[in-house]
Amino acid sequence: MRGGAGAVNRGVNRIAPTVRGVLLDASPGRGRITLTIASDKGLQRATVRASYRLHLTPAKASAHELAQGLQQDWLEAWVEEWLKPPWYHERAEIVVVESPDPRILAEAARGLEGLGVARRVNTYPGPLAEALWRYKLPPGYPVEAGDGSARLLEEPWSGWRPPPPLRVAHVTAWSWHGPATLLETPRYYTVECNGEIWKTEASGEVLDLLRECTPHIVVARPEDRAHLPPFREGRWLWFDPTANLVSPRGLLEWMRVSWLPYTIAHGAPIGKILTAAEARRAYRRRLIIDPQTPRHERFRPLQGLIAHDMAGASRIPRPGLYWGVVQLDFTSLYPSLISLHNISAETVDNPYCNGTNPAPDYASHKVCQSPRGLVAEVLRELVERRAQAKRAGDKEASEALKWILVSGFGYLGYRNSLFGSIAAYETVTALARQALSAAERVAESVGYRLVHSIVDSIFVQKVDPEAPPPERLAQMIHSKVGVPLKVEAEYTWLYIPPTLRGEGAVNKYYGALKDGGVKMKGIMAVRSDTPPIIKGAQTAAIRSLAKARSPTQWPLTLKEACERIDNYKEIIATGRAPPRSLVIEKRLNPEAQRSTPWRRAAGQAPVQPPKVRYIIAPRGKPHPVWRGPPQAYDTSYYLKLLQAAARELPQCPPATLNTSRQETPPNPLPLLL
Amino acid sequence: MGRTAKPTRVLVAAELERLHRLARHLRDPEDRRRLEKLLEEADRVLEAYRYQPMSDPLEPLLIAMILGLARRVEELERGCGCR
Repeated sequence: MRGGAGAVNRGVNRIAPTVRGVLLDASPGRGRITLTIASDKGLQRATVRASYRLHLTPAKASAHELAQGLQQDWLEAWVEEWLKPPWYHERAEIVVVESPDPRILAEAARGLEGLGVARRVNTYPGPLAEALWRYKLPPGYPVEAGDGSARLLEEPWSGWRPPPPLRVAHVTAWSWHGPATLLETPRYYTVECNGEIWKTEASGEVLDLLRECTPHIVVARPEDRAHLPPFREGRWLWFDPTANLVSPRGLLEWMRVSWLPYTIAHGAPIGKILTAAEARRAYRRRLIIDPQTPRHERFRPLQGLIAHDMAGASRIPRPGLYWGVVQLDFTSLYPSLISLHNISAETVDNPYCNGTNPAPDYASHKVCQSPRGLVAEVLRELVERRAQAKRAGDKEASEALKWILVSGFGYLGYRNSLFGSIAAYETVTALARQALSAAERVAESVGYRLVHSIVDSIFVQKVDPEAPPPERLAQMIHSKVGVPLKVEAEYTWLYIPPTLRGEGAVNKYYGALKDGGVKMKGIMAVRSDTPPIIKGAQTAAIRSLAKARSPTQWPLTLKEACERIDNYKEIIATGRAPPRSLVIEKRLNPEAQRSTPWRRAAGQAPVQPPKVRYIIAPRGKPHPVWRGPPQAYDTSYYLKLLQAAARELPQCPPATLNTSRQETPPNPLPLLL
Repeated sequence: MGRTAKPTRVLVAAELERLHRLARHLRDPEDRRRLEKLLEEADRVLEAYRYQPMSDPLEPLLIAMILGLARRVEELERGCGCR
């Protein structure tokens, strides 16, 4: 009983001239959607006539009675058959209501829900996104609009194509210690656009420079924008790097995957991006998404709950130095397992199908192999898309997809997840433990010794000269587990520092790579709250160690590394460290109560910032950077930090300490200046 | 949803602490030393419980002590050439 809604849907405002470019943003309006398109000329807008829909499940009357009762001048309503949650094994009738005015639709829904006549379903991510799905207008893709139609110029999901190029400008306000905080007047600004960098002290000039280079997106922190003159032109879209996990290009990839317009995708948590992609798939398969439908866990004794509430496996490594280590990583382990074993909320422990247990030694859940699970299907496409992006060398898109894949597993076990289920979550962790264990056994059976393993990585040493090369080992594990692996790193040596308890930490190691360079994980040199001078000291020492290509060279390089630390010790102790190399940055936890240097530093500011940057001044007093550079710093505090960094290095031979400073050239402080 | 069970390490640490207290109450100082030494083996098996659940927090400690004894028996056997 669909009425004239289709006619309304397909009409498009005729506007001239035609706008061709990347669809970035969309906003709803009465009878229309306004599209923001990144074209050669900058940002341009086009209007497409549109209607909006909502989906109702009847509560008191039949679906047909409800649909008839809703027919009005501004509303069309009809009945459709969709699949019913939570197991999607039978159909149910729902009422689809359509109107050109989103406000009328929202009021109608509120009224019906208030009377208890009907309840909204498939509400996520909202009427605008649903309209974009229906009109086939995915954000992030090239479109042509304005000549009687809005036409998509590239088929989404039709093999990997790099996101179309966008003009992205960067604005940064600078102070004495680096990027300015909200409480400081910046010393100068830099504007980076079209491959050129301008420097200016006048904030008004920043906007002039931007107008000149007509970017589509301008990257600037709130601190950078705070001192600019008021600006209300819609010439570009702002991108806040502190609110987004990914770069602007990464965000574009998120938009392409989720079909969310820029305004909704910007600053959104990853779960929103993933859930939007899943919701669209559910919509296409006509699956009813009703947050109120309970998905009960089957009964099991308390001991069973404790036994299966387990995370991915990891070993507690023995600290020390290991020569000739290979690190093999599963490629997107969790999403690949979800896809491979068809794991989704509706496929695990489904009472209407005879499933099988994919990890009988690790969990007790059964999984249906048919039909394809919603989460499994979406993640399979994302895994494939990421592999294509990687093959094409598109690091930003690959990184953006990686974040979504990571959240794909986490969201299965998240209490507010629309597509989550604890049984599905437990099955994935069980499969991951099974996969890691299998990888370890295969490596050991062909002549490798296990050094360490963490969730989806194993670190092994070749002990049998006849053992296959790492690439072959990766293939052998792949054929056993079903998930591909890559040789993530080949280390000349790998060092696992001891913790205070004397064990190794699960995710703290570093090593010299066979093909040059070093890889560092979890140590002070790569932690965001380590001041640059300590990062510099530890990095310099590890770079010295990395010169050792064989055990015989180790004592010499260790001596040099210890001398590096000694040099930094002297610089800090004599008060010669440049102030900006001492700045510590901490993110504040608003719920924390304990008195810490960073909370004391933040307490001096008139407004509470999300992050605080400070230096420890004499007598341990935190000195926030917005007060300007301090007269002096607390040498003992920074020496203690240096000592902590030195503890993560192999122990220095006693003879080298404080004896050979003259042998080493003055330290260039490479990371500081 | 969400974690409700205490991590293995926390449960075993509490059990280990209880057994250390027990060791202090043993009459024979040599027995005290022996039990303390056997308890030192715990770390060697704990990581296996990141793959498989434990039935009881005491289980990893018992397995660690049994393995420690078995290792020493093997060393003795090798030393005396009895194997």
